[in-house]
Amino acid sequence: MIFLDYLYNLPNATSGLDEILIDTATSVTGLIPLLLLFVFFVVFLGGVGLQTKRLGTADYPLWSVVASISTFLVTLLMSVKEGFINITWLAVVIVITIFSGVWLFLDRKITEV
Amino acid sequence: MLKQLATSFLLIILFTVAIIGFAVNFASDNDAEVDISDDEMITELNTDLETDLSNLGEDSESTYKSIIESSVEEGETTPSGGQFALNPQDYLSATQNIVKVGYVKIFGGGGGFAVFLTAFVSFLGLLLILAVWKAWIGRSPD
Repeated sequence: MIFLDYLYNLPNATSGLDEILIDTATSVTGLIPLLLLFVFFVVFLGGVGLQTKRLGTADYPLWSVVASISTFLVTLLMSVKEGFINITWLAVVIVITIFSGVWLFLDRKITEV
Repeated sequence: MLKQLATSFLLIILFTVAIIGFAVNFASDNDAEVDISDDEMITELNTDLETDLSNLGEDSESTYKSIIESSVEEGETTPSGGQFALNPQDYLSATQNIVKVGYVKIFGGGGGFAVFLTAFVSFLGLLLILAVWKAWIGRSPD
């Protein structure tokens, strides 16, 4: 049997699920940002798709705000323990949430906001 | 149109303050390891916006006070407009500030963004050339 070297350090599986996640996130740095991207697009595309199916059109700015707030909350939960995200990603998520708000409020008429 | 823009800008400012405030308080309440208040730029933006909002409140109060305390002489009219009598520049500059911080946070202030911009403009140029070429040979530019 041939054993190949792993491309990353295997997580220490003896110290709990948190540590496994943090070790994985440390070894594979793209994991957490891509996970957040996944959360965003599941909500955004899911909402837009279902609304289009029901109404024929979709409210893109509103779904963008809902998706970014969902991502924002997941990011905040990750910020409690060190190792999941760094402050740069947290700032980017906050900025994307704010930009979604800018899009939403500029999209609305005065009677709709 | 102006009222609509002023309302939009005001709500954008309130939304930004709410989001940043929530993040800061979440970190403070839960003793979070990654705290957004360690980020200088976002903290500065939050402080600036709170100052802007406070100024906006004082200005609208003084405008309103001047309306209710005004007396109408024969042949005169009262000033009106409430908070919308303010200069919309206040709202605009705060919104510009929000967008500027966002731009720097996402794309960075450095030359890295120039690469993206060059690629994007090249792509637009390519689309333009294709459209011109298609129109030239008689096909639909779409």
